[in-house]
Amino acid sequence: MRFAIVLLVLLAIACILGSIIPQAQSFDIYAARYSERAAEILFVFYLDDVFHSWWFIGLTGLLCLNLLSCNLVRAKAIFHRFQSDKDISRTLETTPQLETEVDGDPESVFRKLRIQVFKRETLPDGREALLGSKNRIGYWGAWLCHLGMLVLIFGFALGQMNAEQFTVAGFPDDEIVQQDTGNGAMSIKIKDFTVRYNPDGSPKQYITRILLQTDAKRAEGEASVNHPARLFGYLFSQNSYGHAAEVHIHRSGKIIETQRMMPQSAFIPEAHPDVTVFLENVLPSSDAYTGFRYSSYLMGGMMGSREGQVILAGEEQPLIGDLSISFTPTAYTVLIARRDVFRLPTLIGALTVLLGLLISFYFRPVKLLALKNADGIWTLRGCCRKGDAVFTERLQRAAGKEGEQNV
Amino acid sequence: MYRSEGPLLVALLCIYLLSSAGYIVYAAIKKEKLRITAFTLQTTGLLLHLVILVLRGYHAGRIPLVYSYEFASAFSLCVCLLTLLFMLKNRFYAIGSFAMPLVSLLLLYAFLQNRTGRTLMPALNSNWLVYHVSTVIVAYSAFSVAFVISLMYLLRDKVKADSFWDRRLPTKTKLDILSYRAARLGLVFLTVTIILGALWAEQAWGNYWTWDPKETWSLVTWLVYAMYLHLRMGKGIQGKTAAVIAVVGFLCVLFTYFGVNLLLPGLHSYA
Repeated sequence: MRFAIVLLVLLAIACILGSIIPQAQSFDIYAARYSERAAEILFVFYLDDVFHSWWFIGLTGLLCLNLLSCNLVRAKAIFHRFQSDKDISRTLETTPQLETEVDGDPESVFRKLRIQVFKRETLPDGREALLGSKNRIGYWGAWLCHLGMLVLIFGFALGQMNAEQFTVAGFPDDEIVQQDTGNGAMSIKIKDFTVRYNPDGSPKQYITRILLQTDAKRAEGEASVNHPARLFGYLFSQNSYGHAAEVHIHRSGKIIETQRMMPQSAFIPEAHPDVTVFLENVLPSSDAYTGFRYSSYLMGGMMGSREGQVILAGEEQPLIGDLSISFTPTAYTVLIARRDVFRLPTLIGALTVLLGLLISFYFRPVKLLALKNADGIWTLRGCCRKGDAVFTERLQRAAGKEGEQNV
Repeated sequence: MYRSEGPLLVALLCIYLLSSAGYIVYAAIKKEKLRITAFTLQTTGLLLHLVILVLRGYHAGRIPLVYSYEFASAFSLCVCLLTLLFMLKNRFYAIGSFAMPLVSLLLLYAFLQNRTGRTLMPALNSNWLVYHVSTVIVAYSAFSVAFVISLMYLLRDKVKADSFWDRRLPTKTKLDILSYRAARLGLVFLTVTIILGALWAEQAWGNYWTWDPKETWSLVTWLVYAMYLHLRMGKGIQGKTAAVIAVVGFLCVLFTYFGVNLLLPGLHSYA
């Protein structure tokens, strides 16, 4: 028990460190943020990737061992206690949390506490005995909670190790081939990407239609925010979208070439292969005033300003010779595809933890033994789990031993 | 959002503050009329608070549980409601002197937030929001109640026998039991919150757990309260140790709610 508490404390501290220290960054970033010495220490102790570090996994492993050994060791004792609640002689051996005399009919106390009397006996010493118990399922609460945590941790760990995840980013009609998936090579075609808007112009929904194909099968689906597509065992979630540009090359007032570009990508126009256009950034505000920062290069040498040029949507700027350039805004979609066969066991583990907590908290096993002494006075022995002052107070009240008052 | 919201909030804050004052004075002089007045003010405030939130929801066309103002307001309402239920079930009115100031503080925080109605972004436009956020509000509120009761315990622990506070605060046993009841309710709802959050995260982001700061700190809070209840139920540890852990747990709740939003931005940044 003490070791489990120590483990929980250490895991909590690890989680705090993992949330406060930016994770998965380079040495230079840590050095700039803290200091070089601090960055070295971070890397030595794997604080740059706490949740995948050997010591975090080790702590979790120890917790699992602790939970497992606790459950294995206590299972027999819990079963024994579960069974013994129906046995008067075994109950007599248990030290009660409260022993009190009751005036009048003891069964009224049982009724007040909603404990059913299921055994009436005359003991060898001639005393009459009444035994009742309730919430015996509560003995299994903590055990179930531990079991749930084990299943959850294993499910999560196995999921992390075995899950397949990849990103699909592109424009409508783009086709991405993902090799080495659970279905072999898989082609993902973005059939359409739509942004729906609210009356105030803000985005309401992002919808991507995709077509999946392998050698054996094909399927089509639609993914939108909060409504992923489930295809071939993969969950395709509409994770994000990005502002992009359609770049148009003009000659003599006509568009001769169009290319879609994501930020930080380059384009070489067929009309002039010595020129490279580099889209640095899209500066969105509204469709009418979206700006684009770009640079252009002639045979590797930069043309124009070193900071690049900014051009508004629809505006035309000279590029080279009789060519000019313009941009219009567009968007690309970003989907996350993930397949995790262990998500269901993880969910079952989590639900088992919840069930275990509910049983532990709200089904506290109690038993009540009433013994009639030789002088005709009934003595009540209330037995419950340690720390259960709630039952003690209720028993006192039911037996008429504590007055109720406002505080 | 709607014109009368500001003045109604001011009126509500005044009612809660008056109720707080009433309970504090009741705790000192133990006049039953004061308790009834404070209780009536609290109940009136609660009903008005509900009306304010319902009106906001009506004007927004959705359940008002999004963004800082709505969450803080709902949080304040839930703490008030849980306090009321604890009072009625346990005849424990002294809690009002500690809980109602907290309710007032939360409402004041809500009042200071941006109340402008905004269209929901696509990620928040989901039924999951109602399930997830409502359970977290109940969890936080239960932990808040456990916190104030634990504070009362720690104060009780410090006072001398037969002193002014000794005669006015409930027994340590009672405070201990009630703190436990509130904390266990909180832990159950926090567990439900984390499960629902994971299910929603998978729908929205493709992965049910990414060690996002909000997720991680929810886990930290869960671990602290799990320790509290583990020590209590397993080792029978009660009293001062339990009260201190409950206070530490609430500090974790505060960091999860405020600290993460301010200091550790992540996927939950709109929360």
